[in-house]
Amino acid sequence: MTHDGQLPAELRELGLDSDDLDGHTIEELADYLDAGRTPPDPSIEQSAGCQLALDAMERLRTVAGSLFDADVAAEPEPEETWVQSILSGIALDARAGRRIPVAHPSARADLGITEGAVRGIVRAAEADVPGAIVGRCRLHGDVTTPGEPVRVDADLSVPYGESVPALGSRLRAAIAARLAVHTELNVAAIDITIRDIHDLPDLRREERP
Amino acid sequence: MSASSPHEIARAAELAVRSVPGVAALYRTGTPVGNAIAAAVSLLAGTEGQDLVEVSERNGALHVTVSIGVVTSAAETCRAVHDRLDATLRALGRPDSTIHVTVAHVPA
Repeated sequence: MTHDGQLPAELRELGLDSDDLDGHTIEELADYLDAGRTPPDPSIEQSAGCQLALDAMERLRTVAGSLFDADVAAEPEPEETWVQSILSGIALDARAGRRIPVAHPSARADLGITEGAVRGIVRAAEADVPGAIVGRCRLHGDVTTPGEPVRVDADLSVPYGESVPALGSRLRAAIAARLAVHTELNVAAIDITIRDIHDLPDLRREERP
Repeated sequence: MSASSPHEIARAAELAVRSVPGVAALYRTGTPVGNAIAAAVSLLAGTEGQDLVEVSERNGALHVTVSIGVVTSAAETCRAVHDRLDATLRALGRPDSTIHVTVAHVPA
């Protein structure tokens, strides 16, 4: 994040398919966020995919803050920064995906929740674990058949200095609690993979006389 | 009594959905291309913009489709929306409608 709160340009060029976000791109959503979501754009506000992506980008902005500047300064020409990979995950996970059924006694009721919404629920659990940033989320198993076991797989970036096992356990518990509130999924396992450690101390600076 | 057009049914359904506790938003259904076409049709017809509740007739049966964002239990709110829509459609003289409700977003 630059000092005025905007995403650096080199981190906005993700070139994702605009159909993933109902005709919008992650770059457009970043601009929309930078503008404070004003004036309201109905094509964005009425798009569930865009809302999912905006939720995740706002949380990323809140958590990462000056990490963006430090990251760009330390690696002026990165092949792919961890922030870019997280943004890629946000955009990809905003897709609706499969439709997960919700039970109802009426034969004329067709109720469900999208896989994209569930990934959003998983991602939102990072709010319960300060400093943690959830990247890609995946649901493995047949989510379209009620009762079938499902495995949740989430990538995580953790802050330097925190206990990784403890953070992983807290996130796992937060994800499980949120899924129990919102879905009827049979969650057989929640796998957390630590992909990155952020806010590392600058050892080069410490070595200078 | 029955609504005279899909647009009137859609408007009544939208009001019903928005009245359900826990519903935060309605979202467009359909694909980006389909939504763009629907928006163009609305513009040409001079109607008030694209309906967020999709109403269609298939083989003599009414189908009502809605995509929502919720802030309370997604599963429970989904069922509550269905039941409210069912009651609304019965009042409009369409008791045998098939109702499709999808939770597409749960704001953090």
